[in-house]
Amino acid sequence: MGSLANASPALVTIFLILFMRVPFEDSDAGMFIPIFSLIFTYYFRLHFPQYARLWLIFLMGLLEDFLGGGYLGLTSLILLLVSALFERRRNIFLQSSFLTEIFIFTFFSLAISVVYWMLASFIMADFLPGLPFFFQGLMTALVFPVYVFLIGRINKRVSI
Amino acid sequence: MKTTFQTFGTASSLFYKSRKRLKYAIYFFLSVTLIILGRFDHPWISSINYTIAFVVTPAIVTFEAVADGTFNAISWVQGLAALETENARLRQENSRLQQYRFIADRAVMENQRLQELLNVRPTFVPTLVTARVIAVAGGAYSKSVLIHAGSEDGLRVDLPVVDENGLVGRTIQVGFRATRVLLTTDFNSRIPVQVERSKRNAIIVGRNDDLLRMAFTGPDMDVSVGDRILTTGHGGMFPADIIVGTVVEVDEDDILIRPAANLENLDFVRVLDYNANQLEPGEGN
Repeated sequence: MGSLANASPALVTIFLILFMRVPFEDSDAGMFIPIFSLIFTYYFRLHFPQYARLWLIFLMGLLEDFLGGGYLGLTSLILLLVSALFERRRNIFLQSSFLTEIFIFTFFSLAISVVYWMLASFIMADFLPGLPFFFQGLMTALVFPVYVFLIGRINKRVSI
Repeated sequence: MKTTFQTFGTASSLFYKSRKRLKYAIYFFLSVTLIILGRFDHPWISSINYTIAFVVTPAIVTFEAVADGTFNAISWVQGLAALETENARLRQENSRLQQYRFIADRAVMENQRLQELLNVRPTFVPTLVTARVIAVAGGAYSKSVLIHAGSEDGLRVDLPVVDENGLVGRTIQVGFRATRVLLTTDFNSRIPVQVERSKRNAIIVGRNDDLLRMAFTGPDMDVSVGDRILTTGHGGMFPADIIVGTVVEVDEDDILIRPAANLENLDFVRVLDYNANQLEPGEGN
């Protein structure tokens, strides 16, 4: 049970990454899917780093890139940057309330979407439209509180 | 003065931090290497994609089957409520289709007679693989889908993909059981086309949204709103006369086309392979 509780956040996140890619009726091939691996990295590197090992973050990034059709390694790079950033600032962010955390993550998600856009444009050597990245960052931020609630409930159930 | 215990604690802390930094460095290096290899289409990237597809496809297919089953059940229940109306509609459509079939049969016979008269060489019949869309990309800079067919079904890279309405895109990554299809709306998509009415050539470029843009048009480009855009077959990747879309906007800066294929609701697609059934020289005379 202990190892299942440890693995459940990652398993749930991978499940969500795969599940959101299923072509439901009327799902647009161009709709913006939240970056669940980003939420996972942010939340668990901050609060429970033992659940979010670096190799796991790297592989989740590869999975996101594979399913998203983007360049392999790009999301992994972004996630590692996020992880490194919060590694050094954990003590500051741990003191904030959940509401504050939501605001912080919203701002952070939009900032990351700008970084994503810049990196993707640099790699493709072309000026990509920025709005899709903004909307994807916004979608990720909107999903954050729901994800944290869901993970908390599942982890509690599995830990009993 | 530090005790031995404190010195050991400091040293192990430094060792721990160095190990962590080394791990970060290794993963950063791997990520950047993958990006660079992918940028230059190195074969290793195809192998990695192939491996990931092999591992991930069964899970995606399972999710897709569950979701499809759920929606079918819901649709069945909803359908029960509208049986009578649906029956009447189907009877009307059946009657209309019977008429179309009669016209189509006559057109086929007339076509055959004319071909015989003109001594026309038989045209190639494309090999078709019909596959289900099992995953949508949902990314900010990529418009693609995964289909449940791969090298075990004979698929290769750069095969055209269509649905019942028109061109969907082309295959770009082929795994054993899954293949990525780059949609016509993707930023990297380039298709040689022709305006059906005026026979003027151009290139269609994706914009990463739901419309396409016509590029490389001359100053005397004869195109109007409502014109159908077809593939030309130039370049050898897309066969000729596949519907790409319809012109929806013409102005000084841009000519915009709405794709004919139902990219918002892809379910089953067909992969065409015109090269598999090519005639040998001398056949067909």
